[in-house]
Amino acid sequence: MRIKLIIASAALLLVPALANAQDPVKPGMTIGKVDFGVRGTSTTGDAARYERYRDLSDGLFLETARLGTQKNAWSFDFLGDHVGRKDQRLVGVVERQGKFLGYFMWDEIPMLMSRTTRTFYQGDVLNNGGVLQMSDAIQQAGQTNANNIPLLFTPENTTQFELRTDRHIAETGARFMPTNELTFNGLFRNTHRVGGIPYGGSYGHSQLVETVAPIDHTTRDADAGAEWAKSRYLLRAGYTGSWFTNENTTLTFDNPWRAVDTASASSRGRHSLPPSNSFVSVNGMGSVKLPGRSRATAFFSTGLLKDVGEAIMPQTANSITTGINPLERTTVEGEGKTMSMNLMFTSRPTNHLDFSARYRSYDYENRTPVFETFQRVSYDNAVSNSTTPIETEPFGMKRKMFDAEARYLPMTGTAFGVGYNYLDEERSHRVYESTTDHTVRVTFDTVGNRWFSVRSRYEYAQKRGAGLDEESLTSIGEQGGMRHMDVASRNRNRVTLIGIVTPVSTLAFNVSVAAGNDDYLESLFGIRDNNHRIYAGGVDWTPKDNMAFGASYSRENYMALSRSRQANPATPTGCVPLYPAPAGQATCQFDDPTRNWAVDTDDLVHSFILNADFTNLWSRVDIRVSFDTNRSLSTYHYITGSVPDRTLPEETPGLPSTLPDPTQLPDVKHNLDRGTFDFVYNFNRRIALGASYWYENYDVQDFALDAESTGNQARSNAVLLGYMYTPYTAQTGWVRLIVRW
Amino acid sequence: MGRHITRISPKAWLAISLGIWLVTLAGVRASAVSAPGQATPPAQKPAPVVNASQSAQPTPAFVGEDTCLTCHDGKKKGYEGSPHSVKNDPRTPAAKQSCESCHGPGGKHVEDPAKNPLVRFSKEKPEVINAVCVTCHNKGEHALWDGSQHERRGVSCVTCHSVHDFKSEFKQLKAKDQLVLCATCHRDKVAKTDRSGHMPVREGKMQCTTCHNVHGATNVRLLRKGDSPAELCTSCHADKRGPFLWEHAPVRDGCTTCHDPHGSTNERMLITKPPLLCQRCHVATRHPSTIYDALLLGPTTPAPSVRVYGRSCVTCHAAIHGSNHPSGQRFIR
Repeated sequence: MRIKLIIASAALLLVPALANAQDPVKPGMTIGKVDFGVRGTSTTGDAARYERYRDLSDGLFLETARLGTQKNAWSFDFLGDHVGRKDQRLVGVVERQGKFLGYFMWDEIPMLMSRTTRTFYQGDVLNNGGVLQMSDAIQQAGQTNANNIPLLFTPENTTQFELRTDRHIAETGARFMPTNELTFNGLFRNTHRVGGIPYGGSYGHSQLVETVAPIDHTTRDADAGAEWAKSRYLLRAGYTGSWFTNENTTLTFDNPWRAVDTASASSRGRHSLPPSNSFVSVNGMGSVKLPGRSRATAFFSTGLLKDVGEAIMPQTANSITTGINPLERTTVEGEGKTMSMNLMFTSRPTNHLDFSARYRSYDYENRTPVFETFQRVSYDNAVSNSTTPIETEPFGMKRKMFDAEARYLPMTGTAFGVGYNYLDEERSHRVYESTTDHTVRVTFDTVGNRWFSVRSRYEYAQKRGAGLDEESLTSIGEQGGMRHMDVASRNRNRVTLIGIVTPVSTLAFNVSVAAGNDDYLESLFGIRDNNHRIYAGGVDWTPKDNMAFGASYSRENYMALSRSRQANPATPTGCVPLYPAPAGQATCQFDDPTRNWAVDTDDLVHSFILNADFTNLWSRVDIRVSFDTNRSLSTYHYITGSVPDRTLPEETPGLPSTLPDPTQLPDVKHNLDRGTFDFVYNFNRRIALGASYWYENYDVQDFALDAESTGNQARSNAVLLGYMYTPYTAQTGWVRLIVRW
Repeated sequence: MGRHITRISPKAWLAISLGIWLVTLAGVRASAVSAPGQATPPAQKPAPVVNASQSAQPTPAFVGEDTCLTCHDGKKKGYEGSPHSVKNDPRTPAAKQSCESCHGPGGKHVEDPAKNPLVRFSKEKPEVINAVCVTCHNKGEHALWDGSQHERRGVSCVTCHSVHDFKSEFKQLKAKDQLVLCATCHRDKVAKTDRSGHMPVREGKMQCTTCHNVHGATNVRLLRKGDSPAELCTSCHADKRGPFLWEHAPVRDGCTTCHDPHGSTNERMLITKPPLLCQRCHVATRHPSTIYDALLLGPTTPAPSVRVYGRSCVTCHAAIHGSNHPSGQRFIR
């Protein structure tokens, strides 16, 4: 607060001196602008969600500060936004244009999730150092009877805290051009993120507790590069280094349902949190202009990802568990190597033809050795031994992509294009050894026309998997007909169209259409299809130079169908894995198609935006008004039995379901209305007075995260933080003084 | 009841698209015929490139900035005070032939403006415009412009930028900020930044170019950093980078398998709600394949299932991006 007062006072003191300054700007003179004032906000409902990534607290503010001066060939600039606030950004730049640029930036990004979260865990929950503790009395009460938990969840026994993280970024960089051809650049960034995020924790299927994972992360990035460009040639070399440090790589959390360890139950749990790591890469690029308005470019890079070698944590936090075997190794030895190549060729041999071709490869070689264990300790409870090894799956991949396109330009600004893309991906430890994706596309663009422009594109793609390993699914209890959506075979159709019509120079209408469908034709289970339809239109009208109006509407619809089969293993007792079962026997639920179900998800969003800008009205007044509204409706519709129009040939059509009719989930709605009004009165070109008003109204119904579901934070089987979606109405008003010199 | 979704066959898509193109092509050809009273300007060759070796003094072909401003005084606005006008920088138009560096020599234009128009960037075709701008802007951020996605779709430099009449504070954009500008074509992506789950784009802490290099990039989707989408995402979200002992396949494959980076109405920017999201890949017996319907919701249900509300699956499977716990196979620790 004191800092804000000092800054505001300093700005105010500048006003009389600067207001009288009427001399034209001369070299060496400092120029700038400050925009400061006082602000107040009134909110009913979830104020945290209104703020989220902003600091809108009441009081004095310095919204914008711009200072700049030139001396000889050097310029010095300072840019400040939201100065003194939790979301401030301060930048200092020194430049000799054409020779040197250096800068320093300090940026803060808050993320406020909730002010009403509450927990049994005591102390400074956000800065918990990786340990969450609650009182022994509560643990003892929960151990005695789980029904005590909701009774004990009172303000006296709980801590209310602000759930947030704050990201502080300090960055400095420089660009040096000793000659017109040569450029050196470097950057160093230190990002420190502190706070806490909602996290999970459990001690079994009926003992779940939401925890707060501590965030105390530092990421240091260092980039350096050199570029030489002369005449037809360009060469570039670069280095990128990123070092991530997590001060808390474990989270130990007390168990509300157990005060004392037993051989089969633990009084606390211990999570593994993200490891500290580093990723370093080097790259090189060369580009040459060739005859026929052609260019060839080649890019290579290689990188190494490693963890820092921290010890693997013990199997359990339970103090009395016995029979734990030593681990096969003490550290993760996590490592991955990347290799990437990008070759591009473009050519425009005539005014009517152009070509482009690109080859891209990306290899991620996962070098983390397979980790094998014959024991598992779930939920920090009892040890379970296995006769077969439980092994990690270090996922790796190789991607190769080839793309070629040709365009025919029959007349100025109009082009027909045909393109082909081939993508081959090999993956380790996935259900398919490899997938190939063939895409054909056609485009039609007409631009540079005074009246209208159109950009359109249609693509058809076929992705197919090879080297199917169905046993990798069935061995872990999955259905053999499941295909994971990122590797599943699918056919895809997509079309996009963007059109702008300008009947007169001051009026422009725009329309865009995008539609697509993905058909996962071989997936008996998992995602079956995925569709989208997006329609948008708008108008921009500029009747005069100092007036502009705009309106736009968009309708987005995203739909997906996925399938599953509800089953318990070995049920009914003595069942057989056959359908239909022989006489006198019953089919196991896992193999029984009458237990199939599907869910049809549908997300529909309407967005509407209006805006009006008036500048220099009556030579003194600027006004900006905007309103936008967002209406989102998500529905989840369960279907038992076969699904109309999406039945695979293998599936018996019309097979009756033996599942009970599901009670459909409620719709999910998110509605956001936002209005802004900004008024500035310019006394002269130095001084202006401004007033602004923001309005936001957020309405939400979400069965998973609204007060009805998560408001009851403590139940006999679950203790939640109370992080939820809550409606709010917020208004922010501010008056400002703007000084320019 | 389930919705009836009409699937359109590939042939139908092609037919619809072809129909739209034919109508548009007919319109283009019709507009190419001059309207009464409207002269079609003669085809112009691109303005000659002015290189640093040419004298800054007016030659007979160049008339100098002062002459240009006698008729085009309004064009000083925006140009003056911009990086283009810095004479100390030998690369700039101001250090060479000023206006004529980009618009071409004005000698004949001064004699007869109607018969000898100069380069008008609002009217030239994209290839001509781009050729002028990349005379200088061909390094650094712009090195990969040739053949980039925008360039190949007929986007020119002046589609987004303006030398004389820009509206933004930085980078001389034609709109007041990147969100407004990019929404011209990418409306659906910009609309997603308004969703409840979003990056801090509409709050001004990030913008489109935080993740994308719109002028060309070696990564897919014009992503400016890394060689894969995951490398871009983990440049900020380094805690998800691993490497982990127990890895979750979609995390290594690509963040967009589960998340929508532009915005979503779901928590944590997920493409759909858990458990439904997780059930798209997990159909094993017991709880992964159970229907979680409204009977399992609180608060009046005797046994509300926490698998439906709150954090859903990741209440237990909290380490969903990967785990280094020796028993982390199911990401429960």
